[in-house]
Amino acid sequence: MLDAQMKRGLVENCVLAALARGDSYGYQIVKDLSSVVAVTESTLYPILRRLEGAGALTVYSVEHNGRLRKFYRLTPVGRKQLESFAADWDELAAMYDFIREGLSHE
Amino acid sequence: MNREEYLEKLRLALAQMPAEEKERQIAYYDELISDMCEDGMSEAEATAKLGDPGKVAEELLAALPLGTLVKSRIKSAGSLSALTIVLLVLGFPLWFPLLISAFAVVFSLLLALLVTIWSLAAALAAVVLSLGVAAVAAPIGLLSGAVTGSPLVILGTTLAAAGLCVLGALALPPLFRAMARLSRAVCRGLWRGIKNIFIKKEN
Repeated sequence: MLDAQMKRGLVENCVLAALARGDSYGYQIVKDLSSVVAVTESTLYPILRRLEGAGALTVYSVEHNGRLRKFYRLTPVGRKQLESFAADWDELAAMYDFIREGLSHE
Repeated sequence: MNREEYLEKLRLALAQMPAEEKERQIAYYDELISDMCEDGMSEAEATAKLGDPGKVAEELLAALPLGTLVKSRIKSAGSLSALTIVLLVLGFPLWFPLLISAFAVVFSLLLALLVTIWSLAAALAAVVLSLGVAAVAAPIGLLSGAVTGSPLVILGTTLAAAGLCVLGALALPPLFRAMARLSRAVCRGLWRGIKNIFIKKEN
C-alpha cells in the first residue's frame, strides 16, 4: 500500500504527464490514467484545481456538441515541475535497484 | 438518478462551499455526465459511476484549502445583526482570551499526553538497554574479579537479564511503531477538528 502523501504526488505528476501528451478534458484524463492508476472523477478535480492554482496548467473552453467542454493545457511551469519530478525519480530508481539487489542476495 | 437529480443533490451537499467554487464543481460534474453519456452510458449509469453525491461533496470539501473555507465562513457571517456585531466587538477583551486559553488547554493536554507516553517508552528502552549492559558486564566483572559473590547466582542473574533484554528488544519496535501511529492520529485528528469547525453545517 502506497503512502497517501506519496500517492498524491505521483497522481499529480501522472495528470501533468497526461497533459504533456496533449491538451485534454476531465473524463479523458480519468480514462487515460485508468491504465496506470485508479483515479476517480472526484479525486481528479481537486488535483486539477491545485495544479491550476499553482500555474502548472491553464483552462480553456471549447464548444462541443452544443455544450462547453473544459480543456486543460500544460504550462511551462507544469512542464518544469514534471521534469524535476522525473529527475528526482532517477535518484529513487537508483535506490530501488539497490533494494532489489539486496533482496536477491540470499 | 438522472442528471438533474444528481446535480441538485450535489449542490445541496456543497452548501458550505463558496458560491463561485461550487458552480465550477457543478459544471465539472455536469460535463463529466455529458461525456459519459457520449461514451455510451445512460444518465443513471453515469451518476452511479460518479458515486453518492454526499460522499463526493465530502471529498471536495475536505480537499478545499482551510484558507478558502475560513474566507467563505467569514463572508457568510455578513448576515449577523448589528447588535451581535456590537456585542462581539465590545466583548472582544472577554471572549478572545477565553477562546485562546480554551485552545491552549486542549493543545497542552494533548501535548502532555503525547510527552508522557513517549517518555514511558523511552524509560522502557533505557531499562532494556541497561539489562543488556548488565548481561555483558556481569560475566566480565566476575572473570576479572571486580564482582564477588556466588558465581552461580551471578550467572543465573546474567542469563535472566539477557533473556529479558532480548524480549524487550523484540517488543520495542512494534511499540514505537504503534506510538508513532497514535501520535500521528492525534495530530491529524486535531487538524481535522479545526477544519471541521469551518465545514460543519450551520443547521
